[in-house]
Amino acid sequence: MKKDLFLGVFLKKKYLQKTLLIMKLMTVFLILATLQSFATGYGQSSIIKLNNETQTLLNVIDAIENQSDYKIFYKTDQVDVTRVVNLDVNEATVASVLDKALEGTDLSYVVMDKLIVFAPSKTINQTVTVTGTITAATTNEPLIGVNISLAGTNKGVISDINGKYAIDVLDNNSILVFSFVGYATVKIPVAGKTVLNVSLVPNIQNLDEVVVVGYGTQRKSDVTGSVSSVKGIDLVRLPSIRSDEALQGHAAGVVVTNNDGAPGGVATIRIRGGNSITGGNNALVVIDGFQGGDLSSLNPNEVESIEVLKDASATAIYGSKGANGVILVTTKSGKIGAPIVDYSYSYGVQSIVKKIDLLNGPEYARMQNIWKATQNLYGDPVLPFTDAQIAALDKTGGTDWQDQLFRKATLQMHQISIKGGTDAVRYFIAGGYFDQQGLIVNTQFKRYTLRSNLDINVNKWLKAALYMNVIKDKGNIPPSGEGVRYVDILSQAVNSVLRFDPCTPVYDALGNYSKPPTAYGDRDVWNPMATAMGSFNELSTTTSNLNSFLEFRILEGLTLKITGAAGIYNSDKRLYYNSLTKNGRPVNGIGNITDDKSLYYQNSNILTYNKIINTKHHITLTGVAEQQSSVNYGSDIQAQGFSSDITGVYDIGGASQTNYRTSYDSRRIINSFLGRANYSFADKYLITVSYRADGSSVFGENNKWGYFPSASLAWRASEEEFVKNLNLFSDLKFRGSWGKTGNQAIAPYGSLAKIGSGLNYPYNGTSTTDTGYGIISAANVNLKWETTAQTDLGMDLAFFNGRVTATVDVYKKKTSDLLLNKPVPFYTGAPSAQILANVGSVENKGLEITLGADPVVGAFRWSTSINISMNRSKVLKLLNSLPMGLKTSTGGGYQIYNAASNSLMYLEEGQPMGQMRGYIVEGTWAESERAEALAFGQLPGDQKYLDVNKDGKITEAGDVTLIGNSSPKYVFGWNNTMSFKNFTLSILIQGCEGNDIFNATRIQIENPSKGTSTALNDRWTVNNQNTDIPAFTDQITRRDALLGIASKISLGKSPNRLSRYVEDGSYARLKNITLGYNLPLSLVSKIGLTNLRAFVTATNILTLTKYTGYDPEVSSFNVGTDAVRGIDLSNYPTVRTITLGINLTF
Amino acid sequence: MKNIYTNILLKGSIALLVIFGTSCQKLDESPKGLSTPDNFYTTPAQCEAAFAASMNNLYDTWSGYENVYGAFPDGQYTNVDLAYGANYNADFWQIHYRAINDINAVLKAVIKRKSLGSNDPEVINNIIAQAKFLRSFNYFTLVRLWGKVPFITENTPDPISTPLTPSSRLEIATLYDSLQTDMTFAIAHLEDYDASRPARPNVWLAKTLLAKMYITRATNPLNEKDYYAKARDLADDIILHGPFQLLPKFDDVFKSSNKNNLEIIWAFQTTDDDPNIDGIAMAPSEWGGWSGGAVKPRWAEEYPDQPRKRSSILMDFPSDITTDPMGPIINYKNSIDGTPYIQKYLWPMISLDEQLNISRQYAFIYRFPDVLLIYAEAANMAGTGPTQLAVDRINMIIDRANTDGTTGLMTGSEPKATMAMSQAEFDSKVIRERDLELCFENDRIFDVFRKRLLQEVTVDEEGVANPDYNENCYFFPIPVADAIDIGQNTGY
Repeated sequence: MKKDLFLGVFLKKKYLQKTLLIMKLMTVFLILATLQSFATGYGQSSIIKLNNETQTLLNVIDAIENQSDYKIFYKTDQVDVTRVVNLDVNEATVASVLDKALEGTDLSYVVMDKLIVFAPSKTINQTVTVTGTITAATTNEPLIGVNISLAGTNKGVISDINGKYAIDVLDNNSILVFSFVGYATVKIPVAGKTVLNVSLVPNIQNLDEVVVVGYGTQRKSDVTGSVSSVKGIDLVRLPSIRSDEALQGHAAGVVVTNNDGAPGGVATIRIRGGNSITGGNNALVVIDGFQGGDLSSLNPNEVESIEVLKDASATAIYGSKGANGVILVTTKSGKIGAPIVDYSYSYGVQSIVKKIDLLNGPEYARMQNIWKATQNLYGDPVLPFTDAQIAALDKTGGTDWQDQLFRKATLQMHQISIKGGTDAVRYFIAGGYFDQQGLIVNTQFKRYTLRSNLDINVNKWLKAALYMNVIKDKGNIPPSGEGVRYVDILSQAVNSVLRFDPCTPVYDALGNYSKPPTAYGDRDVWNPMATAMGSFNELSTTTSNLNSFLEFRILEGLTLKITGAAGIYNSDKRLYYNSLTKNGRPVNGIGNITDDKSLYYQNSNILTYNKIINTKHHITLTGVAEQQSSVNYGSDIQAQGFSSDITGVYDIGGASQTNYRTSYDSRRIINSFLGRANYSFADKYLITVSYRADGSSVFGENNKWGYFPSASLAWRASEEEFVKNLNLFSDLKFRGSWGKTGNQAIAPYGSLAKIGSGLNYPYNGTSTTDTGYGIISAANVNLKWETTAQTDLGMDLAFFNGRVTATVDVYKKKTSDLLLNKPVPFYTGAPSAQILANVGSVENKGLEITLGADPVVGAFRWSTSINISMNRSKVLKLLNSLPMGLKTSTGGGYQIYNAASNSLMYLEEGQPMGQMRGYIVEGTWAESERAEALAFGQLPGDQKYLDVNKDGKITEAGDVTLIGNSSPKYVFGWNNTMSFKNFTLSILIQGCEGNDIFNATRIQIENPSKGTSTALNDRWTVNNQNTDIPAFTDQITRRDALLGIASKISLGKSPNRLSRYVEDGSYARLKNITLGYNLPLSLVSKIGLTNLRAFVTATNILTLTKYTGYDPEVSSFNVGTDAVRGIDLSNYPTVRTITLGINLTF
Repeated sequence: MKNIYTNILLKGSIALLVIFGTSCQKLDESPKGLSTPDNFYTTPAQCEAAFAASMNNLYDTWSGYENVYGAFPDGQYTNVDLAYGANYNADFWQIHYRAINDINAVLKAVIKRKSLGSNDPEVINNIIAQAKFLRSFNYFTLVRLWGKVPFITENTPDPISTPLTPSSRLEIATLYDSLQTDMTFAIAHLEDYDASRPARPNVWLAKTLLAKMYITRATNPLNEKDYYAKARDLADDIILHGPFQLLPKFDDVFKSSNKNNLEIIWAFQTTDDDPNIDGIAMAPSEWGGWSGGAVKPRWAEEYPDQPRKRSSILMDFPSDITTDPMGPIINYKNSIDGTPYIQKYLWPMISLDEQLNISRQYAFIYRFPDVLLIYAEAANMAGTGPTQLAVDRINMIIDRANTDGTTGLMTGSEPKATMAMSQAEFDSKVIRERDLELCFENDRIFDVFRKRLLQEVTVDEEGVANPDYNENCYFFPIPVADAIDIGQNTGY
């Protein structure tokens, strides 16, 4: 009586009645059976010998199974096997035995190959076709692509372009399930009807919705951690092919900052603040299980949903990579049905959001004359401009360099996708093309994306999938901002555009780019147009990600998923500054050839066991073994002295000098084992525990393995009777979690002692310098990950049937073992007497609130969602109790950093991250304060510093103090979607409050001797004493007034760290408005389409801020640690974009 | 029934095997693009590249002994501060231990890992000998300036993971014993002097270092008198059998055009692409100099008048070297800085071009007169007074010092040593002669310490004693970062 079922798993007969799977199987067989046609199988003529003519049905079944190849299936509640049957014969064919055995019962049988199935005759005979039309309750428009499935089976169909469907059902007891993304799923019993017209209601909050969690999925209602979900549809509103940018403002606790307005620039994403000082704070991005994905290159059009894991309960499963939060992306996959083609095209125009107020040519000429006149110590100075010259400038107005450099730039985008599938294969194929001109002339970015997602049902116990994604970028985006090798900011067009003399035309009389004037103004900067047109950073990158899996159903509830993923990244850069640029000119052109390649491999083996016991106990166990390896290698050559700018760096052989050549190769291996158990009781009490062990090659010898536990509890109070009786909540859940995660931000080989070249010395005493190879870094066998322990308390609420929802989370994170360079004793011989070590700790606490509501439903529909995140950081421990200065080094004479001891940005124990230190400027001395000013060796109109320690002097030691902080008090996003008939309107407002920005740009443009800012018009005069801008006091006046009085102002080597440049960085921004119009279906269907939508979208439309720079969102030092953000200097400005587009489906 | 479980067990085992069996890659790192101490030092050339790096720690542009002048309170420079700060001269402590770190890595690889396995044993021994010589040289400086110091060798556990303790500071005599053992090995396996590679450690250089150790042990703080005889005999061996000699003209020794001449036993080396600091760094302000290495006027005035003085100390110099090097001469007293400078490192010892730009002059470590004077000192102290050979050998130096290099005439006023001198008088004469002959060559501080002359040499211009002087000044304070682990010297 053994049934060899599938996968060779043996099951007892009585097991059948409980086995859901078998039931499903049977049903499928029944459906497949068009009964008698199958009943003529060859084997039915086999002869069966029976011991007795009278016996039970069970004996007959045994006899057939023992004597033939047939297996017999039935449901015990339908077939009484103890019934005595009288067969009259001892020998007969299978068919006649069966016919006789079932005679006089309501049973029939079906033969399929070697299977015989018993079932009630009526079940087998009565298939009924149900038809109907599905419409949206709100619009009464037909809904296309609604999934209609027969409950308890995997049979299903999809509604057609008219919303019509037809499905065969088994009997009157069948239940049809209607599901559609964005609408509440409806289950309707057939109950004898043959026509079922259904009107679907958009869902407010679907608690049965499945969300992706690490290494699996969960019902949303079962999630115990803090997870924010964003639907792909919310990401495609911006005319962007970058998912990072698109994520802005959509999820509480997720702060997206667009630091860089350059096309192809990157946004920083911080989840619940930054934990690390040197280790990087980028969240781990996992795309369809592929770890280390990149949101900035992920096309939002390919995204089904994004889940942001925030608390340790959710992220600890990612162990040593999870400390900065995890962003799980699920890309779209095909749906069963005919191919559906989506195409969209958009065309947009970008323009600068704001120009900085600068003096025009004649104004600048006059300002320079006024300034020059004050330089009278050695006699009357010669003024740079004659009246005639100024009059001439009055006619032309001079050169507006911002108008020259910034242009109206276009962008266009094509997107196409095809999806569909059968029971066996589902596919989603998408391609994208994006072409964006940069706001600055000669900058451009193109991206091509291609994705192919295939899901294959091989058989009942095996599924397979292959996801491929290729991204190709090309462009020219010369570096801007700080931290870019030899390209100091004076060589960047975006820096000189504000500083360059407006009296000088772009081209001189001979048609060459004009050079900076020598007699006046700013001599450090170079013609911005020469710089822009002569700077090339041609990048070409290819990213290919392959992701595949096999999923085995080993047993009921037990699956094994084996995944294999590979990521290949290739980058070629050709950087060239030609001989007309500031840094290329003295050396006849300078350039780099940089090749960089990365390979990443990942294999995750996921064993999942799912079991419901007595309908109330729900257990899910997950066990994973995973291995990852990554390799990064490349080379970089810099050369100068090119004989031709045309070939430039493309012919590096033409260079007269190679400045350096480097190559590198580094590898990282991670082995991991992890487990998670989810248990829920009656959907009310939920427990999740997880544990992960990560072995990483980059850790020190003594700490190769890190361990990351987590635990969380949730209580769905809304399932309790006493809460149900309140009739208030449709959902009420309390959550609590604790766990540990890590940050692996150690470069490979960081724990090893390394030997480096270049420590040369003429050891032998000849005229040749002998090559020296010395120990350049000390080993730290104890080096390990940074650890973040996080506690989270949260609450999910839904009222009025889910029309109003709220999620509130409070959290506290403590990151310890921070990676810092720690001094070690000199006797160790360690170079620089320091090693990379785990010292220091940082705390982040915060509150996140998400409120959602559908205030208006019906024909006009409005849904709104607002999220607010507050994070407070505190540095708990550093190397010592002294403020730790952070490098914000700049070229170009900005003087805000000289050494760690006189830095603008710093960290201090007990204080938040992002502290700014400097001198407090209390405006200017008034005439009435002459005596006080004289005491400092100053005059009325001079900058008035706060004497913090009241010693009568302004010194670095005594008066440098806190002048600002770059961390916002809160950030918010407010999403609105409105629809009326065929119109939809979405509005995103986002912003932040309470952060300071150090507007370093002003240091130069408000400099009295060369500044171009209109702020200089507001300089101190006797009649304008209430101002921050110091007076132009002439030298003779100063000398005479201060005769014998020494200056008490000594600001040291970073004198421009002034509170005067600290501005409020708060803003509220109308980030995006999109208005879409769906053409009526009646019209559209005539041209063979199922949908046609036209839309107009505008981004960065309006920003309310007091900030005077280009944009409050920019930050120059975005490459370094988070603790140095908030300085605005030489950034690529952000753009305003207006885009028109269409979207069609057939 | 049984089959069910067997099957599940089988399937489960396969699944687990797939999962766990394939999931363990090696976590050890073996970088491709760079070397580590675990995979380097596999050829003699790689080992010598590490020795080069160890020397680079000591002597590199703007760091280490390239920028040393005036760093020590030896009475020759204007700087006589005896109130040593917490990290007084810690950079010298640091560079020596860095150099030791590079050398120990070689020894660890060659001795323990047999990284030179397939080479001729004598080649391997030569590498070990070079390493032991170089390491001893570094420790010899450390022990003389800081006393009991941690003796880190290739056998010491990694001091970063296993911090040292006060007990890791060896007794001074014990340390010397270890160094002498290393030096005995070095002398046995180093090559002979090779004029084509003059700065490479050789047997005579090692003997010189050992002779210096002997004379140091014989004096403060150990005062092991029997080492005088050892020093005498070893110095005699070097003088009689070594390749070194006194050049007839004192000036010729220091000309940057005559580097590594036969009077030079060892010097910190320079080349065109690894030069010394700029010549102007140590020049008077009149030359556009940065006034580094200003000489103490009192010491300069006491220097006996002789041709050697004019080649050693810049007392009078042309006021405008750039346009008229032969033009008006001013005395240091009338100069902007008011101090003399070190002639040994300035024009005309170096070319005018070197004076104004990058200098290729190098820094002397051991010079033949040093050995002659060790002999004289040791012979006198080993017996009961000066011997004729001791007197002759010191007088070789005095005679040359008194001789005008151009005319060959003996114009100097410094008296010669005589057999009539008492043991103490002769000893003082030798130490003073070392002061004069070897001035500005980074040797005087050791004589000051071992002969306990600090109080005497640190008087100010008026002869007033330095108020900060005390006996503890004969050892520098252990640098702060290190003292936390290994404890501090007395008095700090």
